Amino acid sequence: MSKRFKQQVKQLRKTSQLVSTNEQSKISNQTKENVRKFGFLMRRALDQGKIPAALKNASQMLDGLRTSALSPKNYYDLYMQVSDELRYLEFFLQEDIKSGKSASKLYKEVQFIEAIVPRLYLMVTTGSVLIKSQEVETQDVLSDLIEMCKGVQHPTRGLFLRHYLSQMTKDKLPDKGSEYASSNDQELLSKSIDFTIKNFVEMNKLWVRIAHQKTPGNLTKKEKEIAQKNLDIERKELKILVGTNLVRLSQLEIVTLEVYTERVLPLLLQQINECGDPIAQEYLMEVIIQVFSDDYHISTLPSLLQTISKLADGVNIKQIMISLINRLIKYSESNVEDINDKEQIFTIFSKGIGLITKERKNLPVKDLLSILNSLIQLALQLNPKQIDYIDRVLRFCYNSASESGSLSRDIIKEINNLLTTPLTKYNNVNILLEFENYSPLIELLPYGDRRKIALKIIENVLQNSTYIRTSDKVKKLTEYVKILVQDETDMPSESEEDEYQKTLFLAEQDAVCRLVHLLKSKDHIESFKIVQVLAQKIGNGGERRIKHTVSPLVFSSLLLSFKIRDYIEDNEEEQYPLSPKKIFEFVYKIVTSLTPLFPLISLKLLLQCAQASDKCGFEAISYEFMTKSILAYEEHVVVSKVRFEMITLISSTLQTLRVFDEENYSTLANHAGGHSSKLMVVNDQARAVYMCSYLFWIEDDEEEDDSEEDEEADEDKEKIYFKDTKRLQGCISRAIRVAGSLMESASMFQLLFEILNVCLYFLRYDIEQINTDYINTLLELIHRKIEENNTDLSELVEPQMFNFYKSTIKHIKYCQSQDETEDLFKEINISISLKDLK
Amino acid sequence: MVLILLIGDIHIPQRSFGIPEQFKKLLVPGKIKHVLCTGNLTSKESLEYLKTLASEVHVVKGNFDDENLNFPETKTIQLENFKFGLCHGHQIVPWGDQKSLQVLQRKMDVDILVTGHTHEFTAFQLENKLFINPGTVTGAYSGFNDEIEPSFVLMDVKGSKIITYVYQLKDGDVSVEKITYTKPSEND
Repeated sequence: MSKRFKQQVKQLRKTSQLVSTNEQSKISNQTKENVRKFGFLMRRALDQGKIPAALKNASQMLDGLRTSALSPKNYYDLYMQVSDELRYLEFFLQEDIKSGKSASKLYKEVQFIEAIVPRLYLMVTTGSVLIKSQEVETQDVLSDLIEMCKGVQHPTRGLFLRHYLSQMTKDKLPDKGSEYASSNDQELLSKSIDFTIKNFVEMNKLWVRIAHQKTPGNLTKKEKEIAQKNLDIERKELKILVGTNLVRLSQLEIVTLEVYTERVLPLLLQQINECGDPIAQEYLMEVIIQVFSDDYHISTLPSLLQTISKLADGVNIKQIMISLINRLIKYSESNVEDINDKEQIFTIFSKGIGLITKERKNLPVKDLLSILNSLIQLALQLNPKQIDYIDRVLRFCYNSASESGSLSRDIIKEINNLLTTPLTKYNNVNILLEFENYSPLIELLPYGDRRKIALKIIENVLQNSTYIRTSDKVKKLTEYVKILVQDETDMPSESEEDEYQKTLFLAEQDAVCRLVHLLKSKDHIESFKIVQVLAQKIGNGGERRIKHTVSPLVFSSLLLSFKIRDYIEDNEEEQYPLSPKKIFEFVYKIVTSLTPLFPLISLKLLLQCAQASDKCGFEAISYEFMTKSILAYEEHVVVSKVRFEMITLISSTLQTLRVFDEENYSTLANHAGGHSSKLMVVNDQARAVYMCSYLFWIEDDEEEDDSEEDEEADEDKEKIYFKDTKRLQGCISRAIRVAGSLMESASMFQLLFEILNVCLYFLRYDIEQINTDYINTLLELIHRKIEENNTDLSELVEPQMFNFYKSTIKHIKYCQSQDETEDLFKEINISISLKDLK
Repeated sequence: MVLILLIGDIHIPQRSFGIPEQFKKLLVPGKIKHVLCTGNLTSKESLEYLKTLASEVHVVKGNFDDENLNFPETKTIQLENFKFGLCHGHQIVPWGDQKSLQVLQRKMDVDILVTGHTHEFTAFQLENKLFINPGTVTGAYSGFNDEIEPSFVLMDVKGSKIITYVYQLKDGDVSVEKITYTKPSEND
C-alpha cells in the first residue's frame, strides 16, 4: 500500500466520518486498484506455492476493507472484489491441506496478522478450510470465529465481515444428517442455531447503526438531509445481508416447530423489538413471515401479533399484517382441512387487531380497513359459514370508518373492497342478506359509490340466478339497493345528468326490473307478501323509475295469480287463504293509478290483467279491467297512429276473453266497434272496423279437451261462445264502404283485398249474411273499381298487392277443389277476377 | 347453406330476467348468418345481444317494443330460394289463428311466414306454405297460456330445402326436434 494512501485511510478512520461523493469515488478507485494489485501478487505467490507470501499479500489486499470513508454501496462493491480474491485463496489452501498440511496450523498462523480486519477475514477463510479438514470439532471453530468477530464494531466493516462469515459457513453448519455434525446430539446441533442467531443479532445491530453514521461535517443542512436520505437508501440495499441469516435458520432441519416456537422465534422477536429501528423491524417481520412455513405461523400467531403491535411508529404495519394474512389465505386454499383450530385463529386475530389499535393510536383508518379486508378474505377462505365473525369484522370496520369523520378516497376504496369481497366470494346474495352490518357500511359511502355497489349486488343476483325466497330477505335486499329503487337526499338532480348518467340510469332500472323475476317463493302466500313489499318500495320510486319498474311487478303478480288458481284447483279440499282475486285487486290499484302518468303502459297492462282475470274466471274483475282500458283510451290516447294501435289491441284482446255473459260482452264489443269507426284516418278506420267483425263470431275453444268424454257433446259440436252475425256483417259492409270512398286507389285495392279475405274467413262458418252472393258482389265491386280507372290492375297496385289478389283467387280455387270446402266455395265466380289478373 | 335463427318475445326485463343459460351456450357467435326476430325484445340490451350472434339482424315491432326503436311492422327477406315474411303477429285477429296467418302470408307474398306473440312454438304447412312461430326464448309470461316452455328455432337453408331445428327447454333440459320442408316448384 502506498504511504500516502495509508495515511489517508488512517486519517479517515480517525474521524470515522463519511466523505463527499467526489472523494468517495477517488478513494474507492484507489482501494480497488490496490485490491487488484495485491490480489495479483497473492495469486502469483500461490501459484509459486509460497503460502506465507500469499497470506501477506492477502492481508495487504484486505487493508482496503479497513476504510471508514466509503458509503455502504461503495464498500459493498469493494467487498465483492475482495471476496472473489478470497475465494481463490480458499480454494488453493484447501488443495494444500489435501496434500498433507495442517489446517489448524494455518488457522493459527493468520492470527498473527496485526490489523484486525485483514486478520479476521483470513481467520474466517482458513477457519472454513479447517472445518472442511475436520481436524477439529466444527462447533469449536464456529464459536471461536463468532467470538472473534466481535472485535470489529464499526457498522459497515462489521456487517460485511459477518456477512463473509455467514457466507463461508453456510454449507458447513452441523445439522441433522450433515457431514459436519459429529453426532446427532440435539444440544450439539442446536449450536448451529445459536451461531446463526448470534450472527443475525450482531449483524442487525451493526446494520441499524449504519443509520447513525456521521455525514461529512462541511455540508449545509439541506445537503446533510440528502446525504442522510441516500444513506438510508443504501442501507436498505444491504438488508438482504441481515435477512440471509433468517433464511439460513429456516433451512436448518433441526429447527422443528417446537424448536422454532421455544427457542428461535422468541430470540428473533426480541431482537426486532429491541432494535427499535423502523426499517429493520419492517424488513425483518416481512422476512420471518416469508421464510418460515405457514403452520409455524399458525402456531405462533399470538406472539407475532403481539410483536407487530409494538413495532416502531414508522413501520408499515398494514403491509406486514396483509403479508401474514395472505400467507395464511394461500396456505388454507390447499390445506383447509389441515387447519384444526379455525375459530381459534379468528379469536387470536381479533385480539391481535384489538391490541394493534390500542397500541397504535395513529394507525391510519385506511390501513386498518385494509387489514380487516384481508382478514375477511381469510375468514371466507377458512370458514365461509362463519357469518357472525365476518359480520363482527364489518361492524368493527363501520365503527372505525364512521369515527374517522369525513372519508378520504382511500377509505372509500377500502369500504368498497370490504363490501365487494364477501359479495364475489359467496356469489349468493342470500348469505349477504344475513349480515347486520353490510347495509350500514353501504350507507357510509358517497352517492356515486353507493350506486355502484348496489348495481354490483343486483348484477351478482342476476349472474348467479339467485332466487330470493322470503319477504324479509326481499325487504332487506331493497335496503341494500335502495339507491336504485328510490330517490336519495344527496342525489343530483336529473337536469345535472349527462348522457353517460342517463344511460347508467336506464341500465340500473333494467337491472332492477330483471331482479324482480328472481324474487319469489315456492309458497304463494309468501310470494304475495314479496310482491307487496316490492310494490311499496317501487311505488315510492318516483315517476321516472316507476315507468320501468311497474311492468315486472305486474307480470310477476299475474303469473302468481295463475299459480294460486292452479294450486286451488289441485287442492280442492284445502281451504286456501289466498285467492287470485286478491292479486287482481292488488294489481288493479297499481295499474289504474298509473293511467294518468303513463297511459299507454297502463292501457297495455290493463289488457294483460283482463286476460289473466279472464283465465282465472273472474268476470266482474275482467270487465272492470276492460272498462278501465277503454276509458284510458278515451281519455288519454290522442295521437291518431297510436289510437289505431290501441283500439285494435283492445278489440283483439277482447276477442280472446271468454268469461263474460252476453250482455257484458256485447257492451264491450260495442265500445270497441264504436271507437274503431270513429278513427280519423280512413285507412285505419276501415281496418279497425273489419277487425271488429271477429268480435261477433266466437267459437268456444275452452271445452275442446272434454269432447271425447262425452258422446252427447258431438251434438252441439258447434259450440258458440258469442255470435251476432248481423253486427258482423255490419262491420264488413261498413269497412267496404269506407274503403270504397278512398281517393287513393292503391290503398283502396289493398283494403278491399284484405276485406275479401275476411269474408272468405267467415264463409266457412256458413253464416247467413256472409255468403257467396256477398263475396261475388265484392269481387264485382273490385272489378268495377279497376274498370273505372281505365287501366290494368298491375298499373294500379304494387306487384306485392297484385300477387296478394292473385294468391287470394288461387286460394278460392284451392278451396273449391277440396272436399270439405267445396260446397261452400263452389258458387264463387272468379272468372272476372281471373281476367283482371291477366 | 345458410343458418338462420328465429327468435322472439324476449320480454327482458319486464317479464324475464334473462335468456336461459342452456340456450346461451347453444347460441354462439360466428355460426348464424341471419337473425329473424319476431319482436318484443323490449330492451336495447336484447337487440345488442342479437347483434352479437350474427351480422344480419332483422327485427319487427312487437306490441311492447319501444316506439323510439323504429322497428317496422313487417319485413320480407329473401334468403336462398325462399322469401321470408316476418311479423310479430299481434296485428292479426284472432291471435295465432291459422287462417288469419294465411291471409298475412298472401298479403306479404312470402314462402315462409315467421310470427310470434303467442309464446308457443308452432310449425305447420298450408297450401304449400310454411308457417313458423319460434315461441318465446325466455319463457316469458303470457296471458294465453300459463305453461310456457322457452324455445327458439334454427333453420338450415340450402337451395330449395330447409331443415328446421326446434330447441325447447323442458324441465331444465334442452330438447331438439327436426322438421324438413322443401319448396314446391312454381308449376304446382
